[in-house]
Amino acid sequence: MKNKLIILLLTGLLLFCGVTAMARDNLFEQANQAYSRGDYQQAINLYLEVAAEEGVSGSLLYNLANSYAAAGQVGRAVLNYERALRLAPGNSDIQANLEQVRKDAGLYRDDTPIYERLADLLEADQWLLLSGAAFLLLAVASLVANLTQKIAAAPLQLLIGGCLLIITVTLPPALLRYQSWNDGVVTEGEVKLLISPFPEAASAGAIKEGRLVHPGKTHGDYVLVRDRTGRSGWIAKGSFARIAELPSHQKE
Amino acid sequence: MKQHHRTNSIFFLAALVLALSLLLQLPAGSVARAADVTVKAELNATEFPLDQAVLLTITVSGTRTADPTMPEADGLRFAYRGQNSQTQWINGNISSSVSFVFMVQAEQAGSHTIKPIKVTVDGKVHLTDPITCTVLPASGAKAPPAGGQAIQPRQGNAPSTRLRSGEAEKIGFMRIIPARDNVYSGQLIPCTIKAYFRQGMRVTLKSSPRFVGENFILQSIDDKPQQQEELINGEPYTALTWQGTLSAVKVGTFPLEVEMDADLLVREQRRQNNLLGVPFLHDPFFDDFFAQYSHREVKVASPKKSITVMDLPAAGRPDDFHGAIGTFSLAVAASPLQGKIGDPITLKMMVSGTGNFDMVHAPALTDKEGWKTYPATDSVEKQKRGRGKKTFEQAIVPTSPELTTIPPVQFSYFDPEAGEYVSLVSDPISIELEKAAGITAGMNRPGDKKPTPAPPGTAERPQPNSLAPLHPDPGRLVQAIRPLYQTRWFLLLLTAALLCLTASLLLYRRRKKLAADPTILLHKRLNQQLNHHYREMEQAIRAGDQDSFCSHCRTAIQLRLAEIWGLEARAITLADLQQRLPADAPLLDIFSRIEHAGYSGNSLEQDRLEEMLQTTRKELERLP
Repeated sequence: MKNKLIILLLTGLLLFCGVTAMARDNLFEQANQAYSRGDYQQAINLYLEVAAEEGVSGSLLYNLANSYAAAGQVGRAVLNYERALRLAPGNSDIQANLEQVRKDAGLYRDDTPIYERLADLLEADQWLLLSGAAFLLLAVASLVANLTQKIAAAPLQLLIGGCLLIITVTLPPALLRYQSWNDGVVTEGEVKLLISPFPEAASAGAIKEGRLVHPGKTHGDYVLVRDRTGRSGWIAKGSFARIAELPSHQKE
Repeated sequence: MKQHHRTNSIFFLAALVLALSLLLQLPAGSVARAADVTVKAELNATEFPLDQAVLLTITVSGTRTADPTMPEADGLRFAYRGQNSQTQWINGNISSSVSFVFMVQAEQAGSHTIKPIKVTVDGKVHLTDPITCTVLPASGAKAPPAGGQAIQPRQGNAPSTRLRSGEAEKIGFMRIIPARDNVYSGQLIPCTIKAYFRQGMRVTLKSSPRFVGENFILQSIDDKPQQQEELINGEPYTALTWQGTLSAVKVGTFPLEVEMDADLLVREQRRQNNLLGVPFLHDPFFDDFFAQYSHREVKVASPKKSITVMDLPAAGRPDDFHGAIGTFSLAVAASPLQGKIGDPITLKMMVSGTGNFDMVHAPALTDKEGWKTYPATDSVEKQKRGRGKKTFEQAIVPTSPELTTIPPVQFSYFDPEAGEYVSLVSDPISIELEKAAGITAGMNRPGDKKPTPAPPGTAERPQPNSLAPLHPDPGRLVQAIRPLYQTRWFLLLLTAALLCLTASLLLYRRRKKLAADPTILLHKRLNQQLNHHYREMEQAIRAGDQDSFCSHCRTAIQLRLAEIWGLEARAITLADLQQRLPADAPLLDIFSRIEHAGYSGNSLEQDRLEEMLQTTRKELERLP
């Protein structure tokens, strides 16, 4: 009797999980279909519904970003491509579409220092993964060398030296890229950079939708941001969104 | 030794990496920058008569709260008069300051020094510079000479009153001097605003100068006025001067008038009847020191000045004129100059000069044929008196292979001095384009379907077919976007690596410790020597060299027993063995047979040699 009850409960649980997964896949499929027939706003709503109920993934955010791009919402497209890259670093589809959307919107990168361009070759997580793997290998090699008392053996020394080299090379770009992990993307069109955090303050320039900004201190409804060219100013909190923070229910 | 150095280096580097990896756990940007705090103390007059008082202002910049402690000063008395604080937001930077005002009264004439004043800010003590002042004999005058602008606290809420006719000459008045009397609507005019106060008045400025009426706008003005002494109709005045710019709003002839709020500190005469009948309270010193001061808020204003505002001429107005009035110059640069069709080129355009930069719009390409253009971004840098520069950056994309130059850009403005419109046109910029392989974005090709006009705000919408396709599967869903160093598996990996590294370090230290023990070293060396002798014995057996076998066997036994007994190996003889080992000990038997063979010259049996070797080795290893 007891065994039967357990089996029944397990079966119920499996059925529930299966139904939930099917419902999620169904919504996701519906969103893809809406995109395919050109109903981008509907696709956006459905992707957001999946995100609100089940969470996000690189692919979901990528599809959502594609829908925003097709709907002409460049800022939110860039935002969600960036988010997708955080979850699926190195994904060629995401990188290519992000590049395409930036190009189409005239969001060209200004001349950046060579070290920043090198750091941009990989995502922060990728740099750190390389560094972590090299660190683990270094630790294991060191342990083996001490256990076997063959620390002077050339292959082990070569391995340890190589690991140290990899760590030295990959850790600085990882640190550099993590500094912009939670940067923001301007989601409103042509946002004015204000010199003070007040609506009537003078403008110090404009910043385009889709531009990456590094947020700093806040005051009231305004946040002090700096863009990649070094320009800084206050913008309304609602005119940009942070990449690593998913707003409640992703309702953007 | 060399090996140890190498190992040390490896562990040092490993420790460095460990420290760096721990740094990752630190939140970014957690370093707080301490504000720079500066303190300054100044008197509004460094020479004053004995029967008058001056104001001491302690200004603390970089904070809004501070605690000044007045020093003991012989011959000087301080009376606290209040404080005011100020916060400014300029280009995103906050600057705060707080000022403390004290009334200073001298007890005797002569030179006095106010020692450095301690100001405590957030527990840290700052000191002002000492101040020296000279107190002159009593003058009998009632009004204290205010050599500078007095900053005083506001007391009471007396309504502000405009100075009546005749009163202005006694207290103060303003003047505005525009650069010209005939201006164009929207034109930025430099102007000088002056406020005059009779010397001896104690005045606190309560506002910046402002225009009366809505016909003119004060576009900019100095934060702090310049201060100097001026004689007006033979009377000395303290003059405050601001430089600024104004612009007219509408066409017509209007009066230009400026005003400003000020606070007068007026000393009230103390009552003469001394109810207590204390005679020394009639002393003029106390009469002044205990005098009551009252504040009176006033408005100082300038006489009206008539300004004629003209409309811009309609004739000759260029199509690209957007309201810029002044004198400007244009500089244009582009990069890169080599590329392919479809590759973006950044056009940088800088408009500099004097005028209303708010109305300066981005210069436009004179010929957009073959170019796809994007909206320009701008940044403006304003300087004083209308000068400044505005920089535009615009992305342009060549879409035609025939292009060899970036066409000139044009910027038009109205020159008020010349009274005519001016169009600045840049030179064309040569470019080298290669034909791009394949399809390029934004190219118009014969047979292409003409795109339908996009609604406003969606002009840059990319076509879905230019994007990589959708992903069919959502993949693993997560609730938050976390960096790798916050994921559990990566932390486990790091922990495992750290454990390995720690174990490795412990092993290394143990090995180093063992290596440093001399008895262990001697034992190791002995083992090496024994192994050497065993090998020689084996070789002697194979060669049938009994002498060599006996020699190595004897030496091996001597070495091993010497270590145990603490004797010199060569000094150990058969007698020692007989004395110290049991009579049936195999080593004693072997040693005696070797000795006997050596003395007697008898040869050992060849087939026993191998057995002797094994027994020797076994027995020597059994020894403690």
